Amino acid sequence: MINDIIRDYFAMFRIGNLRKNNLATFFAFYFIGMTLCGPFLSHTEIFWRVVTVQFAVFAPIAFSYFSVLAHPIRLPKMMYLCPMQPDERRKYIYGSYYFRIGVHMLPGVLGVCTAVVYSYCDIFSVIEMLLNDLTVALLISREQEAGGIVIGDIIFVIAILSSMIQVGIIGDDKPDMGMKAVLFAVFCLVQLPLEIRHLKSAGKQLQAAVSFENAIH
Amino acid sequence: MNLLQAENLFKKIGSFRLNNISFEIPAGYLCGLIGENGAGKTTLLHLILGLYHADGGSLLIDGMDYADKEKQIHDLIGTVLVEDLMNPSMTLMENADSYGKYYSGYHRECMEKYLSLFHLEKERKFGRLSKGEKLKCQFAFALSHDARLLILDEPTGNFDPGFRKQFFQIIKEFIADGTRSVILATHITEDLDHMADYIIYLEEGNLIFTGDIEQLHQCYRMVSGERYKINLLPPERIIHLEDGAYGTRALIAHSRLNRYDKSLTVWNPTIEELMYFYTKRRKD
Repeated sequence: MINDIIRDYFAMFRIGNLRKNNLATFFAFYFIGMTLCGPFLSHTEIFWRVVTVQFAVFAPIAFSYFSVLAHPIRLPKMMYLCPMQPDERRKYIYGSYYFRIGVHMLPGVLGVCTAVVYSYCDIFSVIEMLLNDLTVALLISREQEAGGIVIGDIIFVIAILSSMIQVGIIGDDKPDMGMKAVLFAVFCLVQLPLEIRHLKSAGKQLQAAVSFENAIH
Repeated sequence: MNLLQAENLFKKIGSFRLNNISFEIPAGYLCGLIGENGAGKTTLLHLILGLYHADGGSLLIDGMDYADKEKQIHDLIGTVLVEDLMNPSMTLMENADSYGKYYSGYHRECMEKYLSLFHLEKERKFGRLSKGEKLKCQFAFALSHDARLLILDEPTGNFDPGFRKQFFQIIKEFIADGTRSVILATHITEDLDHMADYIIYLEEGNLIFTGDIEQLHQCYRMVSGERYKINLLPPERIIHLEDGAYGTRALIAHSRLNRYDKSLTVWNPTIEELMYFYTKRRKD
């Protein structure tokens, strides 16, 4: 089953999906622009250090979001036609979701390690960055978001904004504890409640995806 | 023995309703599923495939119900749908092996044989095929896992004339042993006139006709001639009447006791004529 999950994951991952979502496209250009213009705005003197840190912080979040867009919760239609018990299908769906979270967090961990080497990270920043990455890694495709508000997009935007502030904090050799406290408060008061709400919806979508009819309606 | 048995099937999707559909398809039959666009053919096929759950009624496939034998039922069904079912970034054989492992009767050699017969390269990526080639590949896969029921949703419109002939020859061989059946949804009704044993005709979610071809010929007649002569027939038997440049044609509900004026030309309707006149009646 794991081979099928891996195969299906990479088969559906296409950059073309980026064009379908204006928000993702906007932030792709924003992220590229920030990376290239960053050295002119930062206080450090080393161009490539800044670029590397920004890339390490932003790239995992962008990667996770694009991956979420490319992978709807439901299985390929053929999988609903193949002889499988509902339990087998359920295991496949949940397995795919957990695999995706792992794939999304891997660049996050690598990015945090890179940021630790090239910037002034402390343990609080590390934890904050990992939690930030996790909020986006847990997202499900916005197509299946219930209700009129697209919680996933809001979570992504907040993660990006939080990362921008984080890059400013870890790029400075004098830690700004006030800003760190603000970021932590934002996480507890805004990101965490949104994430919990999104995960409740995600749980229902995962359960519904066991049946083709429930997955598409 | 009935391979498929539906009784009072009811399904509501949005504003569309499939109403009280009942039919039986014996083993060894080619069943044509006909109807206009939006008649409910795909909805009915999705119910048979277990993709949708009926809101009412019952559906048995080889005596089994989807509620408790989903895996066994899917194991005996081969499917060709108009949309792409396979992974576009994998080769044809990779797709077949990847999905085939779920089927108890999958034979790799069989898949290779059909791909060769259909002139498809097995190492070619599915996404690079034309529409017709993709359907051929799906057809090859449907035949390669020992299915007892083939569900084919409008594949023939994308086949070239040479392959259509081959396609129907394969279908004929498939049902020849009397234990397997095919349900073919199609708009190309000339094929069904020659090949189908059984017809299901849907219109706006309702069942207009279900039965074998012989019953169709017993239930309906086309008549052609002078309008006043046709109007002499009981009005309740005239399904629809159409004036043409050279006379009037009408679809008539027929029974053995009916007699027709000698000046009228009478013949068994083709499936296309049946559909055409029923559609015209509804629109009028």
